[in-house]
Amino acid sequence: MNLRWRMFQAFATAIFVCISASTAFSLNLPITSFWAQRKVTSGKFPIHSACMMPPQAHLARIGMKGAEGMSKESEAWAATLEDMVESHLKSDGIAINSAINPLSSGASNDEILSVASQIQQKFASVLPLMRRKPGGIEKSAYTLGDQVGMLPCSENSDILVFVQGVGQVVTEGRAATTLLFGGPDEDAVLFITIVDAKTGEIIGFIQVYPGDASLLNAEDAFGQKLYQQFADMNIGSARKNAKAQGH
Amino acid sequence: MSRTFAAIFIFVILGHSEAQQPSVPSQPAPISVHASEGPGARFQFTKVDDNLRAEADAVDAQYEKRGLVLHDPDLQAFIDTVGNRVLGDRPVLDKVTYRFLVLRDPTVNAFAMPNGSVYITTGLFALLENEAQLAGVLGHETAHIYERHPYLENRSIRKKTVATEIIAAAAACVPGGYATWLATAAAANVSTLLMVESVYGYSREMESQADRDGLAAMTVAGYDPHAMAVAFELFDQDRTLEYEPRPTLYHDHPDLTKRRGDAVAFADAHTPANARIGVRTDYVHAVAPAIVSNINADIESRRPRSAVACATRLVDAFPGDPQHQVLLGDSYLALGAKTTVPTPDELTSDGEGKQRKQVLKMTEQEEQKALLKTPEGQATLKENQTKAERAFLAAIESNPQYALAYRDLGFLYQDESRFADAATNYTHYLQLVADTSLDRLRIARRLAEVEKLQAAQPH
Repeated sequence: MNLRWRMFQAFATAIFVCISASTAFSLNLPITSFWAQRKVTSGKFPIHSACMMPPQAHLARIGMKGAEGMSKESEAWAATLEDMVESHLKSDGIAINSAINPLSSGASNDEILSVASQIQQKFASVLPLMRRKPGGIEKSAYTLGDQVGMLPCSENSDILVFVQGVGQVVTEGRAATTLLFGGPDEDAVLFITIVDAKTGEIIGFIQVYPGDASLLNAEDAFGQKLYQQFADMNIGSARKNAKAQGH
Repeated sequence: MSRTFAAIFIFVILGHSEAQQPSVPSQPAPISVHASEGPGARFQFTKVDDNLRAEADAVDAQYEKRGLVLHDPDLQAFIDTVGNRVLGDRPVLDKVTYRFLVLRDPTVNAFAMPNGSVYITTGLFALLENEAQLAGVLGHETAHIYERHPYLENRSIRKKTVATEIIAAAAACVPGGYATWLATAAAANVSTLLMVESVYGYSREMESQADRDGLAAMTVAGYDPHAMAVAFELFDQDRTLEYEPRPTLYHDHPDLTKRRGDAVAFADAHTPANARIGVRTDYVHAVAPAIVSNINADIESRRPRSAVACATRLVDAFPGDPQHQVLLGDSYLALGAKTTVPTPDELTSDGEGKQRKQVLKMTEQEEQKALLKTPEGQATLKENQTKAERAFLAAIESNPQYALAYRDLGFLYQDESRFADAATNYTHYLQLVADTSLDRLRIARRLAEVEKLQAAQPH
């Protein structure tokens, strides 16, 4: 009896450890995925126009002696990522505006930058929690407040789009070492956050990990996966386009 | 996986810093010694150093481009005057151009870049009390540049070949101000994690050296070094007001009590006759634009207690200013069901854990909802709303044409479901505000919403 009980305990513990480990592992796996409110996926919140917040991207080069900055490349990469997201949105029938464009508001550049910086501040305070519990998006848990309505582009836009990319590339020497002994490899992640341009509510969040292509070629690295995420999320005519193309 | 790497990364950084042996306090050297023999003059640049400087230039440009640097001519003149006084007769260093800049960030921090840019956050401006304390902080930061700490730390880390996944570090969830997040994320951008080191603090040895040199520099510039000891006390007190997810340079690196003790010992031995501290109200007047910006940033970053403390200070210094009254009202609105200072329960270790949970696991709305479940929370909300209303009405009394007072009074009444009053105030705001105001559309939308709600309300 005693032996049976001990065997049961050992078995139960092993099962518990396996489940815990696999759950923890799967939660942190670099899997491309999205979270969105039902009104978006169901098409009850039609998206015809988007307002792009200034993109943020950070790239580093890892060599044999640690990391080196790639500031210029980062700036260029940010612009490339923004262009890629914009072109996908446009191909899904969505009109694009820039968040820092004064349009016909008559406001000065400084005033708009100040509002944009205030919104970024709020976004930065919400982001850690949202990345921790992205499921909260479906329950309307996260909002930037209706101050997003202060951006001139919000008047004629349905959504505000935040594009953020973080990546690392490795030098040839480092790549060879990694191949032999393991270690850091080329990697990146692209985050796209979609916000209701009138209420400030966060209605969608996409994280995309790249394919095998070079990070610097954004379309090859992220394009196909992003296309699929937009279709699954039902952004603009993305789902219709995907169906038409047989995806 | 990324979280694990982030944790390892932070551990490596902090662990590396903590592993340094604490320096033995020594007799502080007068600033004139550094002027002729400082390491800055002897420093030999390598390619790695040049890359690091180029990265720092790029970070400067990014901050500017994103509107994170606060530009106010009067404030800039003030900070340049104090900064140049502290620099004194230090020789011009090769490849350094000293620039003193104000960063829109509510965390209490200051940091120096290898290219000579010194950033002081609006949070730090709001916490300090006088010019001499600011001089102490600038003395400390310029000492990092003068001693070439960013370059030396960079070389030291490179030698150790810290194998970290930069992506994990940059993508890690680091709560705090936007600029702080950017700076942390920029670790991916700047050679061997310089930014994390410079923003969150160098090794203990380097920090102690910067303390000593900073105290010497402020003393030579004619400031009373006792002020820096008081500043260390302020940094320590500030920690109790809001939960700080990531301690910054001035919080525990090295221990603040020890730093304060060293500062007092230095000041007792070296304070010159006629040393200046500066008048408190003069300081508040000079840095008011930074404090105003910081109150808004505090409100956006879930730091309503700091917002109330800052706004109260402004209102006390300038009682008739409607802008400050409105900011005070906004701060009480943001506070909601929270008390203005932490309750004794919150200061216990259990309470701190609870606060951590509230910040890291609950949204602002969830936190307020939880507080409102208790009678104490409901009473606190009522009290804060009353104080907010009083502040907005005081602003209107000071200047009946001050549009923002009506707008924010409208926000309060809308929260209290007083839709008719909210509509009246929104209408008043729209009548007063310029056609080019970026807020017109938002308030027009709110007005339409409250009118709808008012119509639906039973009489």
